[in-house]
Amino acid sequence: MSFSWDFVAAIVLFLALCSSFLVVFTSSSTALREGIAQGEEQRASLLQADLLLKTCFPEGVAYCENGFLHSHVAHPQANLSFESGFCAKRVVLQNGGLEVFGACA
Amino acid sequence: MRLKSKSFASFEALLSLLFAVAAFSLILPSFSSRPSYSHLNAFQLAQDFAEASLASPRLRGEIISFKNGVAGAEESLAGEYAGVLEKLGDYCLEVRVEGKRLEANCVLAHSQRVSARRMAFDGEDFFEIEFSLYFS
Repeated sequence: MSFSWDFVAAIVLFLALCSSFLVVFTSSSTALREGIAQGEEQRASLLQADLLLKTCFPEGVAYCENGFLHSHVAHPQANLSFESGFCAKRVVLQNGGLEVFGACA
Repeated sequence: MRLKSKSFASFEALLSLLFAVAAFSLILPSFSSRPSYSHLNAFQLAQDFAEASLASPRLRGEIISFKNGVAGAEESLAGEYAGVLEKLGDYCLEVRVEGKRLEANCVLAHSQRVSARRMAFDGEDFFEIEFSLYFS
């Protein structure tokens, strides 16, 4: 009889542990997957902004003269506007003033 | 004696469960941690402020005026930086040059800080300038 009680208790505890593990693991893995997707979006935006900043206009936004790229200087005709949502923002010079340039994933 | 043995077995199972839950709770934060590039982005922005400020002859001139204590230079620079910071988000910029300190958009307290340093020439001597960006 005592053996039976211990066995039932162990089974109940085992099931409780398994079910709680499954619930927590499922919700945590979902949150992790969403977090990784957001992180990947941020990474892509940052790379895109950096690439555009270091590429001569019109492919990028950088101001180039005789094959020389002026660091952090945007071409006067470059479009620096960006949309809403997650966009990587960088500070550049355009027409002698500081401007914000954004690249969105 | 037999009764003691029985209750001990159940207590042992309960103890195992508690240990398992405690161990699982310790592992849990690693599942919920999210990768973030905000620190990298802030560092890039601090470098951008340093690079763009010194690349512009007008801004470089204002920085030199601020270093030399010319009246109105601090307000002019702070206004220029505040306008840019408004578009960037919740950042605070601090500029330090030869013991002088300028702040722009520093309303809230921030927990993290990144810095960028540059050497610049004022026509006679080289001086060091530091741009610190505070964010949460």
